[in-house]
Amino acid sequence: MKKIVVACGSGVATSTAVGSKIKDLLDSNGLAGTYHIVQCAIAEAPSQCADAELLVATTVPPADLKCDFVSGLPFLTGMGRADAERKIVEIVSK
Amino acid sequence: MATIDTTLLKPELVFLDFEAEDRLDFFKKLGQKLAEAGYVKESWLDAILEREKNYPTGLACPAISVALPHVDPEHLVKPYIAIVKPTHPILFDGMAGSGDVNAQLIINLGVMAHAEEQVGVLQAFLGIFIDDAHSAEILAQDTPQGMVDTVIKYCEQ
Repeated sequence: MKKIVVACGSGVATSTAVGSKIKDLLDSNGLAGTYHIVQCAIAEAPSQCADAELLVATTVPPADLKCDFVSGLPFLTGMGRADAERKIVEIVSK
Repeated sequence: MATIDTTLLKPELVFLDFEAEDRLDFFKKLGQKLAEAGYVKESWLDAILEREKNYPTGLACPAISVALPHVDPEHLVKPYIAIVKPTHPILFDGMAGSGDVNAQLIINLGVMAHAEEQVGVLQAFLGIFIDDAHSAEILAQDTPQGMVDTVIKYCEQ
């Protein structure tokens, strides 16, 4: 089970929007049941990411991040979304 | 997608032709209106300024530049969504270090923790902001009721 952390400044608004799109993406790629998503404020991300595969955030990434990072902005604006989706599917399916 | 709670969209929370000199002035004036209407606590203004400094919310979407400022639920009295169209774009910093954003429309999300019905409205807005015609329709609204009706129309699609 791969852990994906989805974070924004407060862990309330934009991370919810991004998290549901990532879930749709992974499930439509046949990856349902292989991952779980944890949503949090970016301040909690470094500790949440200690045992995670991937952080997707709508903020700049934390300085000492130990897992892969993909920006969540493409899931809000649609710009660069195909590329972000490809990266996430690659990370979760490897 | 979760059911969208459109009851948060109210004409009294739509501010058109909003006069503000800059971002600080904008938040001061908006905070005063929200406090008077009983939606936010006194701590809201400092919280949103601090939050915007640390985690900016300007978003240059394909069809429109917006900002989505919001604070932790502890500074709210009750949930709301305010839609503000300033007379002149307000300069925000872009989300995730994405540069300056001259916001033509500001959506202030007064949502509670993990309330997917409330965040559904945000997703409906994001759907509008990637479409030229839909964004133009939103910007063309000149009455609060018209704005609410237009946003609800897209929430229901």
